[in-house]
Amino acid sequence: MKKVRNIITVLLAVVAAASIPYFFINQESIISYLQRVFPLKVDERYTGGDISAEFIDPYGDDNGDGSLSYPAYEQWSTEGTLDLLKFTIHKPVTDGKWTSLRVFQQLDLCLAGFSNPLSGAAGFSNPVINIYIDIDGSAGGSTKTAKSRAELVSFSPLAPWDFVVSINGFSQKADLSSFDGSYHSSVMVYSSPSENSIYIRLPLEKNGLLPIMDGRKVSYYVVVGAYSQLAQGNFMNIKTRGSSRLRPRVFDYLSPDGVDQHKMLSSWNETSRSYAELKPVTWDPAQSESNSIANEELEKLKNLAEKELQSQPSKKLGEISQENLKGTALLIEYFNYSYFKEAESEADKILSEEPENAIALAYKGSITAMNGGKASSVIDSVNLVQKAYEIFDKTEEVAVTDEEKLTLYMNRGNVSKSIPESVFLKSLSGAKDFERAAQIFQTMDGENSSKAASALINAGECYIRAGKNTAAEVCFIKASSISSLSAADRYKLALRGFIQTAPSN
Amino acid sequence: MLTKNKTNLIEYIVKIIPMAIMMWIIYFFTIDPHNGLATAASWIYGLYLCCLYALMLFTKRTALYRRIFFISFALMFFPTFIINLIETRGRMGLSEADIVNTETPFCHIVIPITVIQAALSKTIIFPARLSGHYASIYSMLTIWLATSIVLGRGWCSWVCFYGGWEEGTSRLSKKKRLNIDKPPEQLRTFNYAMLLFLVLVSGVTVSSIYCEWFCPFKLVTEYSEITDFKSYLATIIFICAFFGLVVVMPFLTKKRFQCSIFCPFGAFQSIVDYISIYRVSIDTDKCKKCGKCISICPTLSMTEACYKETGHPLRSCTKCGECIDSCQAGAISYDFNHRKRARKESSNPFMILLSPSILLPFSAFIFSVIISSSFAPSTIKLAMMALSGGIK
Ligand code: SF4
Repeated sequence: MKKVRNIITVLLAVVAAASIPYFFINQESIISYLQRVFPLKVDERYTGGDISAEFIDPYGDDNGDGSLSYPAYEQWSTEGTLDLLKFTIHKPVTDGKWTSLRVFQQLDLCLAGFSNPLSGAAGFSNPVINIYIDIDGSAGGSTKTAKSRAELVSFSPLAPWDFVVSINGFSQKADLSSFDGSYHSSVMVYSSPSENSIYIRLPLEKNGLLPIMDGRKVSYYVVVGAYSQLAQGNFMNIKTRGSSRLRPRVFDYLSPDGVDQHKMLSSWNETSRSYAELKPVTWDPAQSESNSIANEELEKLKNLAEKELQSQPSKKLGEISQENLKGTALLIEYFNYSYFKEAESEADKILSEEPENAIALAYKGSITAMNGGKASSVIDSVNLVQKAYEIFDKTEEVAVTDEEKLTLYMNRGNVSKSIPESVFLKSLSGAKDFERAAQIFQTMDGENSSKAASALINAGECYIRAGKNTAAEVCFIKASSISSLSAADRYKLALRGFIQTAPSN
Repeated sequence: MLTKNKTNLIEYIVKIIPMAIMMWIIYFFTIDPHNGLATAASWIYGLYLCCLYALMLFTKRTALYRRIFFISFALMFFPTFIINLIETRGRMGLSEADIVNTETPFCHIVIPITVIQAALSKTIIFPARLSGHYASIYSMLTIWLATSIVLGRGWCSWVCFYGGWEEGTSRLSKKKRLNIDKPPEQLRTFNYAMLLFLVLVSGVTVSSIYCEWFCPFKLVTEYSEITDFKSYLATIIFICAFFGLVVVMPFLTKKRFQCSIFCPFGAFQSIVDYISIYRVSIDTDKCKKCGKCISICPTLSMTEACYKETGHPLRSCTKCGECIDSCQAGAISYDFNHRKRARKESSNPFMILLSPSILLPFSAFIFSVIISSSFAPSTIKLAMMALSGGIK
């Protein structure tokens, strides 16, 4: 008996020792299994409370009434810094942890771009954001802006605002004040450059904001402008020849569903000299704010994606050979139709004559990594993947044209997305590759915009693998704003809640 | 019958097997094939690890080379960790934005404090990422579980990236200036009380209060930004805890003071140790009762009762091997956990590969290699850049 026990222990010890490297290599799969069978979450009292509502604002609408363009100063021209993508409302927290506030409501603002060239204390330099809050419907409040002649807008008389939070990057504290001046305090502003996000926590005690806790309907107007220290309310006045003096100084505004931002921001009236009137987004805790797509719409999108997949052309090897293609064109054709062996020998052929051919190198990198996936031992497969990255590094050195760079980014991005994260830690660099690829696609025309969307979705998926959920959402929102999406991409975005309807035709 | 010399020779040859496997593992997990400084740094670290393991294996002075590794492991951890923090969140200090964003690395010490809540409510009372990060919650939990099954409390002498600090400071002085070799029972069990207190209070307040108030390593990892009186007070406590528990007391007592008396994770691992594969055994018949092991044990895990009666050190033993190296009678050895009494190791030189004295350091060192390979080469690269004046 003792002997058997000893043998079992020795066996166990040997197996344990041998399993340690495999444990680390497969840690990602173990984690994803654990996440399914034992899902954990971080206590919301740390993170600002469960999410109550999310409002998505279109990407690329940072031009106000359609005529505004970014200030010309170099520091202010970073793309997307004035483009609000998402506004998140959290449920009120009554026992905040690791924070100076006990009772608060957190609001998150996610922008398409983020930069801090002037070292703003809150972590960003541009924009200036005002959030107007109406907590009592039409009962009381103001329809004018907090500072006169600042944003040059007015607010709906059905929801006059009661409180305003004025945020700029040069102060870690935002001003919170009531419309009649009876309350005035400050709110901490936090920012996360890696997530393109700004967070504020509204203190709900002692500020007249406590009614938010009742679970009543609350309306929000979120207006974004270019920051200027000297301008009224810090909203920069962008003058263009012939523009009206009533044109709002608002680059982006969180428009409610079905409301056209351009129309709303151009609704000023020269005759009556009245400002453009804005409508708020409304959070009603009594209703489910689910963004999720209806099942039948999702089913429709799924069918369309399947149809698209079935209609993908396939070619026999002989057909490709008859096409009289040569060099990289032939290599790409082989690769696209999944004749990887032929693609590899074509790549080798090109590289033997032209060792610095960036396109052949990029494909060679992908094929090497794929060979890694098929290798019989883990060691071989890791070595091959590492070799693939060496090839990609070389490609990076020699890639000059947009086409070459694009080929590199897409190939390397795809490899980074498909290899185990716990061993190679490549998801973040994969996301960056896809983002760079999307940028290049967007500068091209025609069907390339749908390729840009695919690249952005891939970037988002890489960010999720790296645990960067907000950065992923930024990519998904950007992708969903592209009109020419493929059916497969549309379905992917719908599954994640970024698209609500199937195309009508 | 084989002569002793022949047996030794065969033993040496047989030991080439674990050495070769370890070299493969080191190569596989440590070497960065990209050209440049990173490759050079990874080769330096890889060779360093190979040398250390070879010395452990062939000289039988496991504790000495483990100690060298362990101290360097801890020292190399912090520069890369801090640079990583600065890269991901722009600063070393922990701000509320990082908490909102769950950018706080999930360190193993917080595991016992959060694990009960997690099991009961599936909620983690700590603002860390769930996955997708080297120090995410799931990543640390799985590493902890795997290590605990194999090593139990051996984590504290082979895997903990904090322990090396104390190991280092406890070795700075040759002489013991304060003798706590035979401490009162209350001191020996203080960390269990600490664990119980922290679990209860953290459970009630839904906050990991160890991290908020007591962690001695905040000073060298991520201090909280001083924004109010509370954070000011906490920072003073962190500074005092670091210098008191990690520098001064280990220096005076030549013991790993924080690990053995204060650390709640240490206490937790002592409990978890029951499920591990290995432990240390004492052959009570061979033992000369000299008490040297009591004096040398850095974690207060040896008592007279251990070598007179039980034949094992206390469960707080971290499997560092110091007592094994120092025992002149050769009465102490690594063993399997289930054995009640120490067993004579097989004289068959081939069987040595299956003995705990080879298997434990082998398994433990694999963990050390893989975990350290994620940061040590980067620190060496930084040092190389600093030496060549390349850091701006
Ligand atoms: S009993 Fe021996 S192996 Fe255990 S901690 Fe003490 S010295 Fe190290």
